[in-house]
Amino acid sequence: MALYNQFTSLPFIPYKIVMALIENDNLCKLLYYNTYDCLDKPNLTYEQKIEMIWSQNDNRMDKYNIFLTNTMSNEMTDAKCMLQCYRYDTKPDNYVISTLCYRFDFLFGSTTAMVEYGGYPCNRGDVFEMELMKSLNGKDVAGIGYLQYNRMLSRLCGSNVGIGNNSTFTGVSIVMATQIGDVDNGNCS
Amino acid sequence: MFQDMNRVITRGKKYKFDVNTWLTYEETNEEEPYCEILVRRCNNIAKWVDTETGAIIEEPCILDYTLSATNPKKDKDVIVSGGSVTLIIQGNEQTHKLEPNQRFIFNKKPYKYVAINNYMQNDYVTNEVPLLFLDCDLDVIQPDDDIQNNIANRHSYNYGINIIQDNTEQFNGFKGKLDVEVKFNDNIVDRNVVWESNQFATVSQNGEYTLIGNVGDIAQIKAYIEGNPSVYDIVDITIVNAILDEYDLVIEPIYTKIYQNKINTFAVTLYKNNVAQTDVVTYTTSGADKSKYTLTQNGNEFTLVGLGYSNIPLTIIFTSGTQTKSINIQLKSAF
Repeated sequence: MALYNQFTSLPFIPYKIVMALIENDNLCKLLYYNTYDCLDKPNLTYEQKIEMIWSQNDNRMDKYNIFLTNTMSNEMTDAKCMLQCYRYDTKPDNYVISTLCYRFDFLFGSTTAMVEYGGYPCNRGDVFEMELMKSLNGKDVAGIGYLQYNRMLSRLCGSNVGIGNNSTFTGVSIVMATQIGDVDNGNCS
Repeated sequence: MFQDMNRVITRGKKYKFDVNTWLTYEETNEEEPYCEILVRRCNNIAKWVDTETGAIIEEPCILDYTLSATNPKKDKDVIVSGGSVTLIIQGNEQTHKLEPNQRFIFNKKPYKYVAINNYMQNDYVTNEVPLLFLDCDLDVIQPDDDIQNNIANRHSYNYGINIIQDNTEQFNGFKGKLDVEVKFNDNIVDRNVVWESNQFATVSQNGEYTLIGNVGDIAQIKAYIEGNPSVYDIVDITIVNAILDEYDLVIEPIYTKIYQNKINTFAVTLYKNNVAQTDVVTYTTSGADKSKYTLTQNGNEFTLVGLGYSNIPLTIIFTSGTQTKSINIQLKSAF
């Protein structure tokens, strides 16, 4: 009897993505500190990194920096940086394998858009995109193969600037893809 | 209108007549040859949880007459009710701590505070703002709301306090020390604790007590979170002539869960008549697979490290002499 894709590892992929991201100290500092010299600030402790993640349905979403959903329903009162990481698109290639796209929306205050990197003033979104690629491009996050920034895997892969509210917040949105083909029980190991 | 021309009146001051509270909306004494204020009756009560103590704060308030912007919000995939109301409330120590996104429930309808007029200072010296105007938008009910009592997100802030030692017996004049742990949503937290006792004991603010009653009296010692007396624990100590040795194995603090990559340390101590002993404690583990945690012992101090999620909790049984105590700890993911 033919085996069909059960998507059993699907729910665990965002968790594994975030766990890979928080291993990157520079990326965490870009999120945590909204100053120009954020990369010169002290590395975050493990507890500080975990506390940035909204995960237990706390009503005060505005207190967090990392979300595994596409909507942050509280108004922002300060120019903090936020990362929204969520499944953006799913396309079945066949009955066994599907291609999943994950979107990373990195938002930051318009007046905190620059950081010093390598001695030069750089756009915070550019530095973030670089650090994200270092951590995730080619990363095994479950499923088949790796998470990739690869147009040949999905034509949705790419990044664009200009998310935000055209006023106090701006940002960059990045889409990466991976494949999934679970024909037996999966778990998050 | 007041008879006394020199009466001190300020915007935001509350007055109570019969069962109603009235809030001073405007002082008009500067324009008039008599002492007069304009007041509005508080038509509702704003309730919210003090996140530091779990206490419910209640403040009489005025909800303005007009509910504006009531058109349902139709956008993309879901329609929600629209509505905006102005909440007028006294500016005091509690209300000045309110932050945007704070939610309130009025007559089973939830609102979220989105904007504030907090700049109408009474004077240029103290810069005090005695009256606040909050713009609140109609929100959706959330699972942790206490709709019946009109307290938003009430069930998200669960505080508990536990006096580690159990009820016991002791003789008159005995001096001992009680320990307490405060939990917020099952996590051990550091909060100020107030100690009180009845007439048969004295207790200091760090839990040291002395029994002063007579044989047969029951000394009651109570500990509660400062600012929230409704969260408390009481231990009874019966004053006796002679005592049988009482043993207790005490785990401090008691963890019920540990997250991946988190390190929890705790001590297990044998107490004899509420006095700590130095006897070594042994332990056995069962339940969760050993690949999901590490547990090490140094004297009677234990260090537990979570290595990953387990659907089977870790059970640890501690033994010292004839005393045993067990705890179950959930092994959770990193977040």
